[in-house]
Amino acid sequence: MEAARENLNNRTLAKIGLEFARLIYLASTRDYNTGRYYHDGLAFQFSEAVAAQTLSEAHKEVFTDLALSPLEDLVDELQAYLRSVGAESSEVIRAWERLEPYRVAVPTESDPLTTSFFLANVKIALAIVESRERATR
Amino acid sequence: MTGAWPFLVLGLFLLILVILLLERAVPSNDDPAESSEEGETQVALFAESFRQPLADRLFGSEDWEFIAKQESRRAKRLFLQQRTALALCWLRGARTNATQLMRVHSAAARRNSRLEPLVELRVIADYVVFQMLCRFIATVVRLRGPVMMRRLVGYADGLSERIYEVIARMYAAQLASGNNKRAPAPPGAPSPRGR
Repeated sequence: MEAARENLNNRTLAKIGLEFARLIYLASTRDYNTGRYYHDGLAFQFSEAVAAQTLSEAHKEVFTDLALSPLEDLVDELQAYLRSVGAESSEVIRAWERLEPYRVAVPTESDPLTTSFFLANVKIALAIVESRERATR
Repeated sequence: MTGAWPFLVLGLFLLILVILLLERAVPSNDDPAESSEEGETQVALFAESFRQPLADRLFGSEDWEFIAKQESRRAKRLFLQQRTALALCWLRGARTNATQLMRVHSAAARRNSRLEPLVELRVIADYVVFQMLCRFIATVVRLRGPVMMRRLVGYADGLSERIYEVIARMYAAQLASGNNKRAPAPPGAPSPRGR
């Protein structure tokens, strides 16, 4: 299990610079229908069950770190992430405010109050990023 | 003598409050097996319910100081709205957990033949102060938001931890003695009362 975690950290997560991007990546390894996590490389080296467990734990850890981080850090993370997406910032912000795609980044078993706290913080962070982007235009 | 009246009234008020709170905390279900299982879950839940990092973020001033420097009025309004709602939710959860824990405790205390009155009084006093403090914090949060309440919440958290420790200790002892009663002791084993 620890070897699988080390593998995930060194070979995959280390290459993703932003914590927010790591969260989105880990959430994307989860099947929306079943809630199970998949990773071909990890499953090949270890087993499907170990890969799923490793991804699930990493997801929870990254989520908790981000959810409980100072709002200032979350704003910086979110701003950097939205800029890295490659589309026009204002367009991305509008889509994020309307569709709230960050909701799928929440781990299945996360505590409801921490989840609400994270979602509220992202909303506030988006409002700040939007006002910053407007000011620079 | 007239000077003693306010204290008598206050004392009577507190006594009635304690009786009311205890009545509410008494469970209707008396099945020991069921309440034991439920109790174990509640004690475990209570231990989980006070996550200090979340309380620190919710009631601390760090995020507010950051928000205050921002130009966006919308962000400030959102911050106050969301944090107030979350803080009230946190307080409601804390109070509910404490009440559930007291229910477990009442059920355990009724089956305990070696009750310590002073410990019981302390648990009740801590519980009453905790509930009143949570109500007070909720009122302040409604009026001016959750910012800068970290010290009061820390104090309430300390009270809740004290309640939890006493009850968890009592509950563990009772579970152990319950297990000893259920499983016949091996010959020569010391009796639980002898400990």
